[in-house]
Amino acid sequence: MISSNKVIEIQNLTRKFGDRVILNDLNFTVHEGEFVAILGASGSGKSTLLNILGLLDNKFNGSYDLLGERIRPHVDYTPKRASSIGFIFQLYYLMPKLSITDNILLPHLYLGKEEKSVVEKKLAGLIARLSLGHIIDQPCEVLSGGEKQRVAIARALVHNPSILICDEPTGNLDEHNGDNIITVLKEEQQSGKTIIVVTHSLKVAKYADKVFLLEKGGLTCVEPMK
Amino acid sequence: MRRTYEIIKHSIKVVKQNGIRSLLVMLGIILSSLVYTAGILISSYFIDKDYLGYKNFPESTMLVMSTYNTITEGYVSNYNETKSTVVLEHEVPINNLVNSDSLLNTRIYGVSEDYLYFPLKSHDTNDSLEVSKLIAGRDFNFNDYFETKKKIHIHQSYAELLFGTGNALGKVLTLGSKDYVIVGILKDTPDVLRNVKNLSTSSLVIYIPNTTFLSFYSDNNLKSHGIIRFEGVDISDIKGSNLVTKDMISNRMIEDKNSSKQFIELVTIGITIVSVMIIMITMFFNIKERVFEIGIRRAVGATKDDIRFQFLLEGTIYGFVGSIIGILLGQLFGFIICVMDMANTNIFMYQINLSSFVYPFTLSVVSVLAASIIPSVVASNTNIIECLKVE
Repeated sequence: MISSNKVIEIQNLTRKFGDRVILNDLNFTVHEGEFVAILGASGSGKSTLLNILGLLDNKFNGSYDLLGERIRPHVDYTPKRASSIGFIFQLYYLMPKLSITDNILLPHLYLGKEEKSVVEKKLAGLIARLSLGHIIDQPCEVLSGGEKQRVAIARALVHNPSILICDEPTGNLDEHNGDNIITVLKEEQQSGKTIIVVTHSLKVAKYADKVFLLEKGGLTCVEPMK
Repeated sequence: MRRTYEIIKHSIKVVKQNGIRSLLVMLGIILSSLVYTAGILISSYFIDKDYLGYKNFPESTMLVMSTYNTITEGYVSNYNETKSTVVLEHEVPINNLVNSDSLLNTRIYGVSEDYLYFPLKSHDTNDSLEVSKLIAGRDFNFNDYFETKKKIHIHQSYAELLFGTGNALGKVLTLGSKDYVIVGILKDTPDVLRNVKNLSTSSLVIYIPNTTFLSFYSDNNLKSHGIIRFEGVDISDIKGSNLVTKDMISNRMIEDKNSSKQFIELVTIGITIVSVMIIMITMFFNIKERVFEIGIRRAVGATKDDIRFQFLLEGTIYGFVGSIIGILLGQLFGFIICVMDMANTNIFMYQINLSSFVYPFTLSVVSVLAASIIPSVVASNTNIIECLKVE
C-alpha cells in the first residue's frame, strides 16, 4: 500500500571522491510503501547512492530528507539508521563465527528497546517464515548462499525498520533462492515497508513500483517494467 | 542498563565462539602472567631461603660471623666485653647427626661454605686449633653436595683408630643413621694428638662441608640442636673472624636483601615491559583483524561508543581469564621448582604469596585495557564502508 508520505526526498545530491564525480545532482522521491529499484551498470554509483540513503556515507552535498528529518552531511546518524533502516547486502555481511540467532539479533542488541519476550516472539516468527529452524544453532560460516541471505533478511527485519535497503540481494543466488528473496521483499512491501533495491537484475526490477536508471552519475526515472 | 547487560553477555559469547582466535589472543597474556608470577615466586624463595638461618638466632645473643663463614655457623652467648672472652657455642644438630649418647661429644668442624675451618685456640690448654692440613685425598668440591653419600675429612689418628693402617680413603663412616664417605685425611693437630691418647669414637672429630650440614640438618629449629662449647675462647683468637652485633647483622641482612631486591626489581621491570608489549601487540592485531566485523556492527546499529565498549570489555575478559590461567600455571611452575629444590636442600619454600597473585593480575588487566583503547578507538572511528571493504 503506497502512501503519499515522503520517506526519502533527495534534492541536488552530489557525491565526489576527490575530483571524480560519482553522483551528480540527483533528485528523486520515495514514498512510504514503495518498492523502488535502482538499475545501473557496475561502477555507475549504485552502491554509493545506497550508502548515502542508508546513512552509511555522510559525505555528500545537496539535501537529503529521511522520514521527515533533514540529514546533514558529516553527522553520525547511527541511532536513526539502527531504528529505521534494515540492510540486505549482496555479500550478506554476516559474522561467520556467530550463530544464526546471534546474527539475527545483532540490531536488537544495539537498539535494545524491546522486551526480551517481544524479541523472542519476533525471532521465532522470522525463523519460521524464512525456514531457518533446522539450522538455527549453526554458525553462519557453514551455511549456503541462500541460507545466508535468508539470515541477512531476518537480521534486517528483526527490529521492524520502516525502510529496507537491499544491495544486489539476489546477485549471488541461484534462480530459486533469488525468487524466494523477491517473494519476501514483496511481502514486506505489502506489510507497509518501503523497499529500495539496487540491482542488475531486470527480474527484480519487474517487481518495482518505480525504477530508476543510474548512468554517468545521473538518475533517470524509467517506466515500471510490469 | 539492559542494553549494557546484553552487550556484556554478547561479548562473552563472542570470546567463546571465537575459539582458537581467543585462545591465541589469551596465549600472550597467559605467557606473560606465567613468567611474571613465576619470577615473583622464585625470587622471593631465594631471598627468604638465603636468610632462613638468620631468623632463628636468639634475640639476646651476640653473633660471631667469620669473614669466611656464614652466620649459621655459631653464635656467642654470655659475651662479656670487659673480659673480652666469649663462649662459642657451636651448634650441632645432635638429634639428626648422632642418635647414640656415646657420640654426643662428637665435634663437627668445617661447616663452612668455602671449607675453611674454625681456627680456634683453647684457653685451657693454649693449644692452637689451626686449620688442619690435608695430607691425603682431596678437598671437598661442589659436586659432593649433590651426592647421596656425603663426604667428610677425618684426622690421621682417627683414621688409623677406625680403619687400621690401611687406606681410609673411600671408607664409609656411619654416624647415627647417616653414611659419610672419607675423601680426605688431615694432619693431626695438637688438640687431636692430646685427645688421641684416649681415642674412642665418642670424641671423634669430623669435617663436613657447610652444604652437607645444611642439606642434612636445616630443620629450621636450631633449639633442637646440641651445642659444643669452646669456653674461654677470646674473640680475638678466632682468626679471620669479626665480632658483630645483632644490629650489624640485621643491617647487613637488610643491605643484602635490598641489593637482591633491586636486582629482582630490575628483572621484574624487564619482564613487565616484555609482558605489556606482548599483550599490546596481541590486542592490537586482534582488533586490526576484526575491522570487517566492526563494519558489520556499525552498519546494523552499533555506535562508536558501543564498539569501544565492546572491545574494552573483550579485553577485560581476555585479561581476566588469561591472567588467572597464567597465574595458576606460574604458581604450579614455582611449586615444581620448590619440589625440585627440596630434593637438594630439604627445605620446601613454596608458600602462598599474595603479591604473586595481585601484581600479575593487575598488570595483565591494566595492560590489556591500555592495549585495547587505542586500536578500539581507531577501529570505531574508521569509515563503515571502508571497514566493510576489508573482507
